[in-house]
Amino acid sequence: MVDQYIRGLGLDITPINRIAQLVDRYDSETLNLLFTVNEIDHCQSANNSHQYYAVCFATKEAVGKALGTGLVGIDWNEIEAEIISHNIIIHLYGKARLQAKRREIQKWLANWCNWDQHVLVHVLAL
Amino acid sequence: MCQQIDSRQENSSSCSPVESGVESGCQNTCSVMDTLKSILLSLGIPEESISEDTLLHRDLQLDSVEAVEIALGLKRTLGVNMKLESRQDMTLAQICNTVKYAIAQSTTSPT
Repeated sequence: MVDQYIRGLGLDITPINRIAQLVDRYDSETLNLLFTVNEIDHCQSANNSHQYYAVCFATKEAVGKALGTGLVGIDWNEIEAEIISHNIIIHLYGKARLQAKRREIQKWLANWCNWDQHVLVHVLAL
Repeated sequence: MCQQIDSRQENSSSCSPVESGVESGCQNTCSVMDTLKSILLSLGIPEESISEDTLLHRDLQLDSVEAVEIALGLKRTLGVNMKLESRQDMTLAQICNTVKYAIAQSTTSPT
């Protein structure tokens, strides 16, 4: 069995209404600074679009924490969340990918839950 | 004419309208500062807290969503991509200078 050493841990809680206000105020092109095209497409087509956007946002924050750098020197859209039920598949690009490589992170485990108009995202870097 | 950051703003400072393809030299410190100020006012930051020496995180206690709101506001209004997460806290004047530099870079770089 492969020894899966935990290399990072990140948690984030995001209020859905705050993200809803932000998403409703800006067009897709501006939001692209924050979310990837895939995330925008996925969130827009979801039944609960604001909740999905909040999950994507919280995932970026949580992954930043697990990388040990926060989002300093990493662009928001270099961390992508693919939401599948209550699990999240994390895709990293550019500087985020490099930082994960530096930390020898090979795998991510991430999930989310919601309560009281907030989402909680929890990620483990292995 | 004042370019509004969003429809909630009714008491924000005025600023010069800026198109995405900003002409080099048309952005002075004052107009970038006005834009930044109007974004901060739209977030509910009191006007008396806003000055050139104000530190973004230490003085305004912004959370990550608010920092993103400022970045998106700057992108929409001035057409610049700004990242406000940094190891060192920045004053509003420093942010304005960074924005002006980014505008200058975008207008001088070949398309």
